[in-house]
Amino acid sequence: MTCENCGKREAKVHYTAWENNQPKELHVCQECAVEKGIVVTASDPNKFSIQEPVIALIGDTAIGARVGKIQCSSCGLLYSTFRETGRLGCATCYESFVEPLQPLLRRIHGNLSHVGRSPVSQHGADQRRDQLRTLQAEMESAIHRENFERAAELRDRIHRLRDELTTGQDAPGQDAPEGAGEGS
Amino acid sequence: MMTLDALVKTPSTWLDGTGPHAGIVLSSRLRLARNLARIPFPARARKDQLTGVIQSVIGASRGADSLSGAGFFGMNDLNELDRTFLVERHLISRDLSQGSRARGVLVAPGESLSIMVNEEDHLRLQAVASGFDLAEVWGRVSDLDDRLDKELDYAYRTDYGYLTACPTNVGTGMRASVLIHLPALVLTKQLKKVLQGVAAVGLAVRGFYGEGTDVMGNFFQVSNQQTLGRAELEILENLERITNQLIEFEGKAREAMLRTARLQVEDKVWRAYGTLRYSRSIASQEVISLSSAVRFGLAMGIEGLTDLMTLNEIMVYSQPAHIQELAGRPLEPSERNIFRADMIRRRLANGR
Repeated sequence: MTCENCGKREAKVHYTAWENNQPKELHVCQECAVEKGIVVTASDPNKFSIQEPVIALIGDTAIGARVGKIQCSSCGLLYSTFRETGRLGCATCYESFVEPLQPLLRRIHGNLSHVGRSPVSQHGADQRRDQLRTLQAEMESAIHRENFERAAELRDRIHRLRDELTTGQDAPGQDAPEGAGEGS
Repeated sequence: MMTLDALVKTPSTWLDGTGPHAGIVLSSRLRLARNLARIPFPARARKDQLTGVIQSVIGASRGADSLSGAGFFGMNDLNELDRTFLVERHLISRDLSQGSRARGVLVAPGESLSIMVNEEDHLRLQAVASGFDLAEVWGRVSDLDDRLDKELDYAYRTDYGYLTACPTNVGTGMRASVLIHLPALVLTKQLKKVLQGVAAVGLAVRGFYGEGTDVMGNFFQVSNQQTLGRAELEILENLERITNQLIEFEGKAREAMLRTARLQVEDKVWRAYGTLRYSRSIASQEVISLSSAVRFGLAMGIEGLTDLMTLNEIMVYSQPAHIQELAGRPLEPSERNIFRADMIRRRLANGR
């Protein structure tokens, strides 16, 4: 198949664009995809992502009509509606639609497990270790850009986290609120 | 407390033309998408839930020093012109400006920190800085996120991270971007090649004004695409590294242009300046491309033009809703062009 944009190169990117509220299948080459703002990763031509909306990634694949009828147990959103709008209805949608969402998320992000910050309420022992690494990296970055106030604040949080890890406290809610007028 | 009138009169602090590489990178931005647990995302929430979210966010933000003196602008309290003004100001998205649900934006004095409430996610924490300074905006937003986390119960899963209405944002919920000016790469026709390299490392590049071949003013927005499976700092380092490369490529292209075509460059810059300085009627799109040429001239060290801050302010204040807010009344496009030319003439006369 040749590219529908330039008509010269081989079409390697296949996506559904959203034009005038109608889905439209497009097949373009990598160069034109870049030009049109659809980003293609060179390492894996099958993996791509578009800025928004994400409808492109939702419609195709072999998931079929069955999943369209899946309904969120909390907000009642139909998966078929999500296909149209590209927007989920609530946090529980991530649970209710887990089957079709997994491949979608993998195609968008290439990865399925979160790395990085997390809310204080989630900081269990394992999480605290991850959080410690995140905070240390953030502190080094703060020092690097000479924001010593922020670095000191992060240092205090690191100390508190370390203390909690060594004393074995990991119940949610036991995190000392950082920076709230305590510590040095 | 901030008012819309104060916003109109005082230019955003990020327009001051300071910060690293401000001659090439106009601004650095970062936003975090957050939702409250147990409340449907805005598009599916009830009216009372939406107003509840607004109250929770305003309440939680009282504990944040960085938001002291902030003002909340409810979209349903503003007319269309005011809402468009906030879009032009980059404080809200076009999406937030439309529709009828309870929604708004909380803006800190100086506009370098703000929170959109009930856009497609309950919260969009956003920071902007002049020049190339992602660490600065990250520091500011992550600090605010820490404060709000103490008061608000965020929707989060260990596997997927922060949950968002659109699956393209799930995980960190972070979108970081730089607004970069690449006239020499455009003029020397190297841009396409360079941008393909950028796309290959998972970053998105979009024309800031217009798309595809019609990119006006040679402004490009470079941002991360992936939000799940990579930590915030890793994402930022990647964007930082690529932006540094873009700065280097653009710098080399500029040097080469000056070596081979100094006179043509200067001629183009001064003609652009002359039009801005003396025209009696000018369209906003023309301002974008002319000020691009003058910006180029400033970065090349051509003396006697204006300064970066004046130029930044002219670009922002030339937009249609800004012109009408300055005039204090709605204007027809032809009237706007006259008013705009007048505003630019006065600013350039005072500038230098």
